[in-house]
Amino acid sequence: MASTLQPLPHAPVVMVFGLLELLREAPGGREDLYKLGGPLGYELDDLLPVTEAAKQLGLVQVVAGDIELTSEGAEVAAADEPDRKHLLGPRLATLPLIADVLQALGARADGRVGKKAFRELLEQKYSPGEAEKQITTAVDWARYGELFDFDPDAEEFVRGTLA
Amino acid sequence: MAAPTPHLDPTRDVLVRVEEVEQFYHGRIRILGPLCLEIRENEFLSIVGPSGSGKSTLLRMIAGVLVPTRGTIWLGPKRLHGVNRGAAMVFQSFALFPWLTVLDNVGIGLEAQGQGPRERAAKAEKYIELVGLRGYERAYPKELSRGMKQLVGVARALAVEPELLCMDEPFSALDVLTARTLRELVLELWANPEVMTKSILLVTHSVEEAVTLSDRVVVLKANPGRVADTLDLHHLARPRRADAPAVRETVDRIYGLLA
Repeated sequence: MASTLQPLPHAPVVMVFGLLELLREAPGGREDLYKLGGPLGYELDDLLPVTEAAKQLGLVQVVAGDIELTSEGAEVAAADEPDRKHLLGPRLATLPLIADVLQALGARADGRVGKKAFRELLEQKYSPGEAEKQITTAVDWARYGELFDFDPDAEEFVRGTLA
Repeated sequence: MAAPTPHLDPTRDVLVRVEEVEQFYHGRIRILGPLCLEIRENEFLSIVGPSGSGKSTLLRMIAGVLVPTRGTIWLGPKRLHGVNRGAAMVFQSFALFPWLTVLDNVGIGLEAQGQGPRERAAKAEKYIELVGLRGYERAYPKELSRGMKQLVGVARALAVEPELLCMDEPFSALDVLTARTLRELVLELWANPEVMTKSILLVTHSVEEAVTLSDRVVVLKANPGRVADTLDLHHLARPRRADAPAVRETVDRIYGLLA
């Protein structure tokens, strides 16, 4: 589970879509990353998790300070729900932590695995607060991609969706 | 993204007619009206105006949760009495029940309509899927980002299949990128034949938002709230970009009316 030590950027999925739609409208499908924040009323620091998330998902690339849509990003930007979700699901499954939880769930006959083990692992590298945030972000994205669910009562990740 | 079909027929049916309504505080301070407007079938109508122009008051009257001091609200040939069963609301503050899951929050209005559990679940699932929330059915509101919370609000309103969707500053509590995604999605849903809602009434303080989304915009002035003008925007091609010259021009014209 070495890859769990790579951090997930904390960006809500709908914010990432907003970025894709913005780039879709930009001339030539690209924007200057440093100019992007101003008109949106963001500090660059607020925007970074969003651009980082889009980058990790292979939806954008950053070239010489410009951010532009990849062909996959353009496809997701142009799609309606639920197609958008179906396009993104397999990409979300490859992200650190999400991939690890999926692997652990695959090895369990009952399709459940406790959150505790993952939190302890994350706490070797992050503060307890950040470890918790990593899990929250992973669950948010995994739910969006319909990859796994989280049972808050049992504090367990659950394969598929909770019935 | 699918653009809503333009509806150019001015003779089409009127869904709601607001006739000479007035609202007074303590029976004597006039805060709104007399004011008339109509919401037509299959249109996206926005009400813009400064604070104090009574735009939320007007929305609440149309939803039937506030009775005007004077005047009448007509639903087709019928006078509105009590809650407007043909309308559903989306709130700025999301107004979700924190102790209910996404699925139960979306289904709550259907329970009030007296629908059985199976029908309720099927309809809730349908609208959850349409807004892109599949996978979140068992999540609780506190686990969701603000944007996702408002998607639950939208799914809940659409699930009761109202003729009219009333939205009170639905994107104002969201960051710019999230708001952009949700605006697009609302247009998509409105154009989707699987969604039963015919017309959308949006109350917003953002002139740009009103112009990029609406077929018509009612501009209100304050103290007391009254109609300054109603603009027909059917001629503006969709999808509309905020920086398109025709959009900018219309935005400036509305600011001129408000000044």
